Amino acid sequence: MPSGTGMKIVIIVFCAYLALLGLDLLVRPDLAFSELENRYLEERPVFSWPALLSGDYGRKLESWMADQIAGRDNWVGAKTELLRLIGKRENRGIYFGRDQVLLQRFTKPGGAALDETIAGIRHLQSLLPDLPVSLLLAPTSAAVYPDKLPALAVSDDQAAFIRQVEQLLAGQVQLVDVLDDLAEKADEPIYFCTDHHWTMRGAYYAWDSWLRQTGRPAADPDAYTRQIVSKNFYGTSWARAGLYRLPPDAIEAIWPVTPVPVRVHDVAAGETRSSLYHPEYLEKRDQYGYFLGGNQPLLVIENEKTDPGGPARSLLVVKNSFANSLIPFLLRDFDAIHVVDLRFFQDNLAAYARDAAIDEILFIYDVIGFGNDRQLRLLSRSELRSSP
Amino acid sequence: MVFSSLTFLLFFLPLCLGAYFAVPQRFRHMRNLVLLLFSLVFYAWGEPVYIILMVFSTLVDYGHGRLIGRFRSRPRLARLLLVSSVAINLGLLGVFKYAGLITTTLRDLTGLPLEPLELALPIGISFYTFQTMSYTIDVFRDRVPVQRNLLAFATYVSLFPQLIAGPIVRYRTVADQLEGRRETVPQITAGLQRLILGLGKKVLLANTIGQLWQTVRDTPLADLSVLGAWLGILAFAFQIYFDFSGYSDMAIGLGRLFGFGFEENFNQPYRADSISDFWRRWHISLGSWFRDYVYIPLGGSRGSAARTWFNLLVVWFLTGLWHGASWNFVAWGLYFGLWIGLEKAGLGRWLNRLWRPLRHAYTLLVVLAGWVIFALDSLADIGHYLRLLTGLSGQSLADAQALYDLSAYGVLLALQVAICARWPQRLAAGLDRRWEGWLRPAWLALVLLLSTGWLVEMSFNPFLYFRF
Repeated sequence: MPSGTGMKIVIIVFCAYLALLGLDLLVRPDLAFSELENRYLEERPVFSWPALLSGDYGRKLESWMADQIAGRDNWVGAKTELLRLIGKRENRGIYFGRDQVLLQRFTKPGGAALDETIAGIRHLQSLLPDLPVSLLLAPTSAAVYPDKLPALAVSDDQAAFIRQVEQLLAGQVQLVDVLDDLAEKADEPIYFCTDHHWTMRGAYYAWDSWLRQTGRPAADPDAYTRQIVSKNFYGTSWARAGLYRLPPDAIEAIWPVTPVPVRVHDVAAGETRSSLYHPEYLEKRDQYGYFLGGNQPLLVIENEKTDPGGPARSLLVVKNSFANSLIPFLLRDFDAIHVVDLRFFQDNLAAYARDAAIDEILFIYDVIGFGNDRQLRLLSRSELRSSP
Repeated sequence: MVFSSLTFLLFFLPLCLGAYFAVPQRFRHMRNLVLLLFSLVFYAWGEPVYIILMVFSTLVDYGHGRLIGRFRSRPRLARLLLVSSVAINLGLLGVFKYAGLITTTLRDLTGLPLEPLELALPIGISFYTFQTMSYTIDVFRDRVPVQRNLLAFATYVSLFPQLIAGPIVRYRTVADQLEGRRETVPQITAGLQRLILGLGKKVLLANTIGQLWQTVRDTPLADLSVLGAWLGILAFAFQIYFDFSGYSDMAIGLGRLFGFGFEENFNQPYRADSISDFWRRWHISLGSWFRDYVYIPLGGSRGSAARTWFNLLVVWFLTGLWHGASWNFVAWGLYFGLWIGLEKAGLGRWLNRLWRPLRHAYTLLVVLAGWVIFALDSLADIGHYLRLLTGLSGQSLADAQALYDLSAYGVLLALQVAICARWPQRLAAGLDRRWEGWLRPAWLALVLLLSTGWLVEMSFNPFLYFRF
């Protein structure tokens, strides 16, 4: 240690560093939302004696400080970089893969939770025995690009999990396994590098696979055209991993060469739009909302009748966000698509399907979302009473 | 409140230092009052209700101390007062810490329909009751003068640097400092340095390696490989060492900021070459407390061999039990008592003839096996884990998860081994001399910056002593 004055300088610098960080927190107005992390930040807790006595105030104060501290993003980024430097290849379930690809770790779900989810789907099918029901279980990028995983990284076998679900649903629900078809296209950008979703191109190949497995004519590549709509997309994996220096992804949209006029009703919001795409999201951090505008409880998409002579065909899609870029393709075969996100949809699904004259049901989930799902099991409770 | 939190570092500490040093040095009692008030806030932050308990404990020992002083000429009465004080202290511990264990054990043994009594453990109770007991016992033995100033005594008991995770500062150590200490610039610098290094140990080293232990802990034992089990227990050994010694460093450093000199609590324990040596280096304040207030009064090792074994049994039973109200801690204590007994009985002499690295290896193996007993609470799990470590459980030597963990944490583990060795400190001291003392402040600034960064993204920051 230096002596005399030097020592005093050291003391003052260290104390001032701590005090100024604290003071800055007190005087600077709170930031409500972190664009980078795509989440609401903890705001300054309101003092009350009961909150203090329960310890609640203390806990909230600490998370407020962590969220609002000056240069939070730099602290988090520096920490991740440093840990990566000494060998860590994972943060919060996200692997730092080769070639700057972030991949979600897949841990095989099992036990009672999976059984309950399966029972929920089977129950719904048994209430509507005349409708064909299929489940498109999307793999995540770790299964499609296994060579991008960091050396020795562990991620459970998704193919085996998909086969297991297939067996559990056998006889009632057709499982559509798209993994092999996607793996064949692994040299194309079919998954984002900074996000856990597939790209629209990945969704296109998955749709094509679904068409063929459900006995429909395959997709015609010449009927579609591609366009890059964004070159600066940073996804959820990037925000979770905290590895902020990766290059951004591009977002590619795939449209039919002959435009299909649509009406999209957001039932909860009471709005109707004439497009499936939300370009306003391309100005925000979470650009994946470009597809369908995020997750709504219920969307009803209608188009001009695909086959003017034949009967109207209605599809019910029960899904998580993986479906958002696939749904536009489904308009080729259906006149109306009802899109339900069970996290927000409160009604009786079986009754809804009957009343809306649904002809077919398609579940679309990725394997991780399917394993973690807490709503599908609730379908076991639904029942069908005869219409009044 | 804990030291490794932003609330403490950015709000509490600057405010407390500011208020403390705003009072001129000659107003010693005012400075004590500032410390006392801040200490009460510090304690109340997490557990406001139990502050009553600490105040009660303070008053009981203050009162008993004064009464013992007054009735010193009447040894029987003085002894009765001592018994009363110790009984109250142990009674508090018994009710608030061990009631659950006692009731469940009684129920399991006798089959009586007892409702287990589960009270939230008042944080730090094991530390401050041991501290206040050291005061009354030492007053009774006439080792320290009676403290007449309640403010000074309350400052001692509640002193926030050592309040919730030790070291167990005996009254004797700080008796003169309470009213006669001087805060100097070199002391403050040294204190700051110690505080920052301790913070780094806790936040950067312990929390990071603790995640590896957490991964292993969350894996069913049947799914672990031998390599995985070794990585896990090594990670736990480093986590608890860096966490606990980091906490002690912070406590000692904070004490120095306010002019107190506490005794050391850790002295490179993983460099020990016998189990007796390990316990002279690990949690020194606890070991010496039991030595001075239990083992030696019982007769120590000066009686017959049988008597020594009995004394060891008592001391190590209590040492184990002190760490938490669970039988695995008792087993852990007795396990060390057994090794220390064996070393006293001749193993030590035999070991002394061995090459030092072999003695060191023996010590580390015994200590690591001990951490298994400490870290897992069911006997079945402990047995399984120990068999797994020896490779006799028939599980695979290494699996994909263990190899991945080795790749992800290998560098950190090697770094922690190096930090526990002697040469990095020599190297740092040499470099510091060459750079005329400016290397150290730069290094400290780096550690402080990184620790702040780690605390901001605080997905994993456990407080390990909630059972003590």
